Amino acid sequence: MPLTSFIFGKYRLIIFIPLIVVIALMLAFSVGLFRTERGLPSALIGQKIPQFTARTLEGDSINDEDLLGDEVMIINFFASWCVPCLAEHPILKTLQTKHNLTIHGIAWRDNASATGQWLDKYGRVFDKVIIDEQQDIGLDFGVYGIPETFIVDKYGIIRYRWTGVLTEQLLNDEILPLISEYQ
Amino acid sequence: MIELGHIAITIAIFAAFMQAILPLLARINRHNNRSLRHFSPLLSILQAGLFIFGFIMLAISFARSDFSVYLIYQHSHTLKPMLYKITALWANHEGSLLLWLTVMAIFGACLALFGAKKDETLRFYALSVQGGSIFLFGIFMILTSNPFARIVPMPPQGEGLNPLLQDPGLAFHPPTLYMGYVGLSTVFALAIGGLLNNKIDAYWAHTTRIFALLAWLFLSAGIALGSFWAYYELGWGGFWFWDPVENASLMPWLLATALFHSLSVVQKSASLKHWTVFLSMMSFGLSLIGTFLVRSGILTSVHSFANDPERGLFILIIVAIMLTAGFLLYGLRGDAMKEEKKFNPLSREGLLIFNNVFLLTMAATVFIGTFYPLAVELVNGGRISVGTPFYNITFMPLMVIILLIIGFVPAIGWRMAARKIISKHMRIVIIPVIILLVAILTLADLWQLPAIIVLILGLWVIVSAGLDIAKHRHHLNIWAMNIGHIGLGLIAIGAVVASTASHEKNVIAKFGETFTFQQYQLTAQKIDSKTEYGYQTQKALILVTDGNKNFEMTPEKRFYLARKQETTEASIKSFWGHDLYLSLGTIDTDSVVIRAYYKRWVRLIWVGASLLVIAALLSLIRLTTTNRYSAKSA
Repeated sequence: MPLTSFIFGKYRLIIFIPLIVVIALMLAFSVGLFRTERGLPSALIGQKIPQFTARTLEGDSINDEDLLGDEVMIINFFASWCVPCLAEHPILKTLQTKHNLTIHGIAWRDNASATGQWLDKYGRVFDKVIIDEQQDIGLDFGVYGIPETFIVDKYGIIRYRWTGVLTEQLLNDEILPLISEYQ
Repeated sequence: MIELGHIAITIAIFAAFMQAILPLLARINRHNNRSLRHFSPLLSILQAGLFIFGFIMLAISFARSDFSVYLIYQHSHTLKPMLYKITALWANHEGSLLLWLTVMAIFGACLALFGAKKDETLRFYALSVQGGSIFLFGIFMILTSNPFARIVPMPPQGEGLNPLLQDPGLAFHPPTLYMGYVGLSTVFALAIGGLLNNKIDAYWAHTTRIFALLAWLFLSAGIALGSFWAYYELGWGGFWFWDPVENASLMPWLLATALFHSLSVVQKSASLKHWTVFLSMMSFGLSLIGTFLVRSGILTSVHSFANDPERGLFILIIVAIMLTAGFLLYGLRGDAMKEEKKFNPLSREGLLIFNNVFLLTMAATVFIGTFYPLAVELVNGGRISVGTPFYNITFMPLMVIILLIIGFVPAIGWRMAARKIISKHMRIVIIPVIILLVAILTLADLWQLPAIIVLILGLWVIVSAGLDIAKHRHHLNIWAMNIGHIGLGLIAIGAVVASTASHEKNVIAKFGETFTFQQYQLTAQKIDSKTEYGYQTQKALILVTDGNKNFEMTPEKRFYLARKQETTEASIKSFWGHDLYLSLGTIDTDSVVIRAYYKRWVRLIWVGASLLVIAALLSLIRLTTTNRYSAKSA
């Protein structure tokens, strides 16, 4: 049979099967790497932000109601010890200055002094900074690693969640369109 | 001083690059071919020296709590005991990458000094592949995850370390495991070297087997240490959780086991070459995929570092380059390998093919279980988790069959096996097995079916191996093989009995009141609160007696000041047949919640694992002290 002799005979394509499997695997992983980022399904999407009470960087008491304004805002979980958070810092800056967006920062598993130092050094892009040292707030938001970013509309409903570093492309392709939609 | 380390590493990475392109240079510049070839081993030694130097520089900086180094600031604290200041070096992404590279460089130097001494061309090619691997991981580290990065101004204090990791187990588990993972890189290099050299022969198998066994030794020890550490540190008596990163260490181990078995066949009868080359590449491939898993954030695990898909992509590209190059080469050159395909299916060669298939299937099963949640998420966004129930159904039956086969090994010869010898073997082994089985079942309270099945099979393996040793006690390789198999039998028995036949009890113990658990009477006396170096502790004093002996146990809860994290320290009392394991729950003014475990036969697991290591050591001694590497050597 011509086909079998092609595969098993002179050209022995069968010997390239491991190569094909490896390539397929690598492709699957690369898709997985980026797909898992694509706005993680969150049970919270469509729900109001979780209730919490905490302290700000300055030491004042704050709760979830205080965060709500009358426009779309962003909640960003970060920490001074988190290198990818540093990487996305310029993006947050762009959002704050160029697009005039309100961003609240929640310092996850971090303390006030380290957070304060970090913000002094790299610039403060957050309107309010909340210290979530025991990761209680993070727990309620379903955060299991940082950075994580939530887009919240003017009624306090979570509309979008991104796990991982924010990038320019993400900003232009997904975040900005979403924000103008909910504005 | 830290910058000296930084410079050393950079030079080493450049040296690795030079080493990788040396074959190209040798081809272009044929006149200087010989001197270029001699240059390669020197480059390996240079890389090893430079990486060790850089590593030591970083370790010294950790010891001195030099918080001007960003890594040290993030992961250390002046309150930490010295041992943990140093182990913090590899308890993070950047530092562990440096460890990975240092070990890779050391293995490269071993390959240069001791490997393939009789085939310089093979060694030459293998060393450049090793150099290439070091170069790829090296630029990844320097460009995206530099452990030597500085922070200015220098912070006065560090951010501490997860208290769960402040444990002697942590001091040895990662370095040992990495020596295993990375040791497989030399096997990979030798496989590619062999293909480039167009010579996959007995000598290739001999030299590759030495490195495969060495890597397997460390991998076994590393996995066992991790399991042991989880058992006594995490507080609920478990020793294996099918966590993605645990699986990432199991898969290379399974393939490495198949590999060194397969290599002995290539050595003796010039067959199974395709299998062996495939296993050589794939075992390191799974090592690489494992490291990708941990550092990319693609799967959640207790072991993962931060979410970082961009780093993940960089690693994925490196892995893709290495594996596609390797398998492409196999596709192009594989057919040139001359194989002898004639042997009786019922022979050691046949059995080892079976072994390869089974171990590969087990590895594939673990692979599917680990990545299935990811696949489901990609397809329809669903979130599921795959855990112990899946592996019990899929992995365990394969384990059972393998144990059955191992028991037959001493009766099955190379090239062909005689039915008479096999049936004689069975008759001789069955009797002691039945005697031991009856004795154990009457003395021990063991009625769970899985435990009994594994006990029978384990005894079958152990008695069979023991009798073989007794019969051939002058052959070191017979000792090695059978000790290894005995070790496996013990691990299987210990693991299944500990998991299925153990007992557990949760009690609200009022101070002064006695409660019963198995054969023990326990009385919680009081709680001692104290401040130690770096943490505050609440220790419960529990008096235990079983009529014959009396002793105290002190489970505690600790509160670590730097990270504001609470941990429980279980109290374990080990006997031969069981461990009594106590863990603290909520503490009240007049009572305390105690979780008591009666873990049976756990010690067999650790003994079995030690035997695996001893077996590998014996085999290595045999391989490195014999001059014969052709078909006749056993």
